[in-house]
Amino acid sequence: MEVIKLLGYEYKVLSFISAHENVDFNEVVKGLGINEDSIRWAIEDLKTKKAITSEEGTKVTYILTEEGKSYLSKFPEEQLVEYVNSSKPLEVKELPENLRIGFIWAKKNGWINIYNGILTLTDNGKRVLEDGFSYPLNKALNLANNGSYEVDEEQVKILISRKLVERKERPYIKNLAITDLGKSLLANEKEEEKIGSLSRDLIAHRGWEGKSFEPYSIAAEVAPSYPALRHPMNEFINYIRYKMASLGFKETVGSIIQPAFWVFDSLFSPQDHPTRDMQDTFFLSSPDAIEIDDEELINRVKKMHLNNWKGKWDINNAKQAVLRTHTTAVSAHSMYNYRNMDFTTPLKLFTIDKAFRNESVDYKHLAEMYQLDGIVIGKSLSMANLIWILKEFFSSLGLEIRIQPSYFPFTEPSFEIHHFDKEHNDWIEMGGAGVIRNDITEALGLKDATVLAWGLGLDRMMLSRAKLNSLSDLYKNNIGWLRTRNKIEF
Amino acid sequence: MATVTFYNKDIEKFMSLDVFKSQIPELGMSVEDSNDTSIVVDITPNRPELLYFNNLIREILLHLGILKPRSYDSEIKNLDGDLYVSPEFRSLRPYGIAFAAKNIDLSGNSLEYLVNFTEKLTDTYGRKRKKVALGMHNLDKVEFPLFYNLSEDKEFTPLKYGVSIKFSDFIKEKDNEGYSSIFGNKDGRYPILKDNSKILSLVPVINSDETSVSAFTRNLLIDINGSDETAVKNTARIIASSLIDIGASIYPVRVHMTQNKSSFISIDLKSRRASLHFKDFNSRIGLAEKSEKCLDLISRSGYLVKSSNSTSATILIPPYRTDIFGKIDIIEDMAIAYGYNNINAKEISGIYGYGNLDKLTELKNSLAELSIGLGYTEALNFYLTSRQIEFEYMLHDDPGSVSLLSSKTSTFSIIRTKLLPNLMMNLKTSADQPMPQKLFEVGNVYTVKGNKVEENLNIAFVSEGAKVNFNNLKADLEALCNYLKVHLELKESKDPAFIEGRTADIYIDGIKKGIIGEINPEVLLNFGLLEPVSALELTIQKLDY
Repeated sequence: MEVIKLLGYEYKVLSFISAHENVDFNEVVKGLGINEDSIRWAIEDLKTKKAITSEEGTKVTYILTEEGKSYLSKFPEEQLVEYVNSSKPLEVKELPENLRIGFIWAKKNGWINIYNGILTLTDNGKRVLEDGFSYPLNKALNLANNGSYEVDEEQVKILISRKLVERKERPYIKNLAITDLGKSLLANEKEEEKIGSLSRDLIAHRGWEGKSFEPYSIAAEVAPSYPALRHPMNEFINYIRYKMASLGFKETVGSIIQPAFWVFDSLFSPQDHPTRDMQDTFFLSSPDAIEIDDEELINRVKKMHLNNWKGKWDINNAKQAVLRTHTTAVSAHSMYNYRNMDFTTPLKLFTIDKAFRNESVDYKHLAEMYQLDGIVIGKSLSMANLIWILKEFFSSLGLEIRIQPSYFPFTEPSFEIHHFDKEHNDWIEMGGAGVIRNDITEALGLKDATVLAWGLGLDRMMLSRAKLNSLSDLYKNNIGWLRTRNKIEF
Repeated sequence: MATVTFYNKDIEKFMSLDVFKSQIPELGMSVEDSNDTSIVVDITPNRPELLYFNNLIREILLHLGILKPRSYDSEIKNLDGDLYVSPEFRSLRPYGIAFAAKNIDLSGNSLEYLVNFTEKLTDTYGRKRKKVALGMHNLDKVEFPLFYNLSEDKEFTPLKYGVSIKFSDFIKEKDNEGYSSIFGNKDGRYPILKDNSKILSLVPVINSDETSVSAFTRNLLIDINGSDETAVKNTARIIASSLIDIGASIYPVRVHMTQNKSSFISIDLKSRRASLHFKDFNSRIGLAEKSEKCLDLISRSGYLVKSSNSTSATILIPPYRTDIFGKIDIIEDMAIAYGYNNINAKEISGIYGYGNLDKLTELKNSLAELSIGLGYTEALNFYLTSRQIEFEYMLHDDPGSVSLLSSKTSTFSIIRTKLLPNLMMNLKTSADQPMPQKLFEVGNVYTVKGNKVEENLNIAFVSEGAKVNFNNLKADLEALCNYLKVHLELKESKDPAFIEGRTADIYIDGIKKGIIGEINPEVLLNFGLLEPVSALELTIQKLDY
């Protein structure tokens, strides 16, 4: 004959049922303090082994709807009575929107009267107030919410008809009883000693040998873990930084706060250019001006402007403090800083940082955005060399590019960089490039050197990679997104 | 951005729509919109003359080699009359000229194109008429001589207005763009252009109706005035060459400066000369093209070749080109004619070498790694913020913040002086998320000391949750200082943003660098937070570029 063995929690469950006559499922769960699923399995198995019997019943529960939950403290008709009582003679049409719903029920309950469109409380209504609201519907709703079985059937019918609660019937196991077979099984079998937590002691003394481990319910739900993560934009910026560094570029940095000189004047932008307007550029009131300490540099830049743009050039406009509108300002500084170098070996520099525009922020516009600016300074470099560098860089990002003529005051020739976007099946502009004007390189003090430059906005590139719809969502820093987001493929 | 609408049926007189649309990007512009009747083109800002239909068509035909460059000088005819500019007028508006253009056909869409052109030209190149303003009049209704001078507040009948009205009333009623305030009036006297008997325009606001131009007008008077002499001259050359291309002859006027009795002829269309070595083109672009190809590129860029040999050419810059400062600009045009995507990439010799990240980036990254190791998630906030979040909510005074002169976004008025206020906002945004919540930021903060900016690299931690307290943050701070190999000391202190008795100043190697503590519940409520928050912020490094 096959030996029937009790497994897992079966011994515990069977002992409990043996000790408590005709218990139901919930009592077993409470009594043993083991999770419901494990007990359900144990009971099913014990039934199969004919160790216990049980009956199937159904249990009625009431679930509150959203509207029902909002009535837990007061029903609208109760609020209405309070409102009518506290206000002066009240016309029906003056009733606030949120109380209208209560009107019908207050009337039905005989709490209010209407005469010539004026609302008054009836004696019944006043009594309701004095009784401190012992409104049967309210009581029933609260009982239903607490899962009590003593809810007045009549009141529940009304609650259901008002769509405040829903009735649910659930199957449930009751009248669990042990069979003779069960009793003998229990008598024959002692609960096997199982290991719960593995301890230092058990490990050191090989105490686990000859025993088994209490099994866990693998399918049981666990509380979520939240990883601490870097901000995805910084991950992306670092990714681009490493690409640039591995192409042999050195990173440079500079302040976001600059005299207009480094943002505009040194880069050939005329002083009456529309982008130098408060409408487009953030000018500062504190500090309002920043000194430029190289007189000779100022004079060279001034001469560059007067020779080319004619008109006037005012040093005070160049000193105005602004938030840089492009990171090319950092490149301008770099050209100046490295002006005395020998460029027989080309110098390759890049910067990735914030630039600012006076924009109204919305889902596709930001007032501050990340830009990459790269330059190569060398002897007799050409536009064909720049195209080569760009192809190297963009192919390292897996992007195919095409170029198109464009206009920037500081480069000649100038062009836009477009990449093929598979999502839109079209070429999309992603940055600008060009050979820096000789006037600029000379004014900045570079002798006999050509400067290739390109710039790229990073926020929009990030948007499609992070599968976000709005640029500003990137910087809301909702921890929900930050710590549950997926890895982003750049 | 300046966009112009061109009608398909007009384009199709010269080329197919497909050719037109494919040429626009080749010339550095973009098609913004197109439908069954018209195409909207965004015109590149350095080529204001292309705001005119005929000129854009001319440019494309030149580029395709269908049209050859021409000279415009020969269409300048004899003088047509005199213009007197009074000293008073010049004190408000230094430069003013005029010229006549005769024998024009303005039928069909020609007038609409021309009017739109002059409006867009003075809007962009003329900087909303501040730098240059322009008026077009029916020459046949004008009696020379002309006068730019100031006038009492008089009545006249403005263009399309129907009745006569005083200058001052018209300005009040109709000058929504504020043109009248560009250079104002002088003691109630207004700048005007008049002829022998009548007012032609209230400068630079509106013309008179009497000399208005219609599709049947054959002869035009153009007056141009502005604050910048070069810009006025360039505008005249752009307009005159445009009119010549639609069949006009140009008749200058003699401009008299009434204060010093000097005079000059209002317009010339002489081309500037430039000499170009083909090797300059080849080396800048990275090509090795021979003279024949170079001459073709020059011609397709609209430059007339005066003379040439195997290595160089002398060329004439057309009078409508206001953007040519030097050879390099001509070389760019030749490259555009060559086709940018026909230029083969060329490896740079000696380009290989090692690259690296800036020390500051490396420091920021290692601080971030440590913070993540301590269980903090990184936040990345805007630099721009409001005084309310930065100071009011934190119960702090403004320590001297970098302030914006004006901002289109009302919540931006300063640059952050600390990282913590933004992190508190992030906790507010995340209020419905499970606790505990731990965030950090590493970033730059700014203050102003005596009109000089002080920039620092800071790190800040916030930790929110029922079980979070001062000691958790203190332990994290100790781990941070251990990692950075610096000596930490905490000294009890007071700060309105923190709870008294649970706040300390952070001293690093003996110098005060920051603050740590539990956030004052008043501050928590300011940010709408209902769980305790502990926080710290300290300066890692002063930045000096």
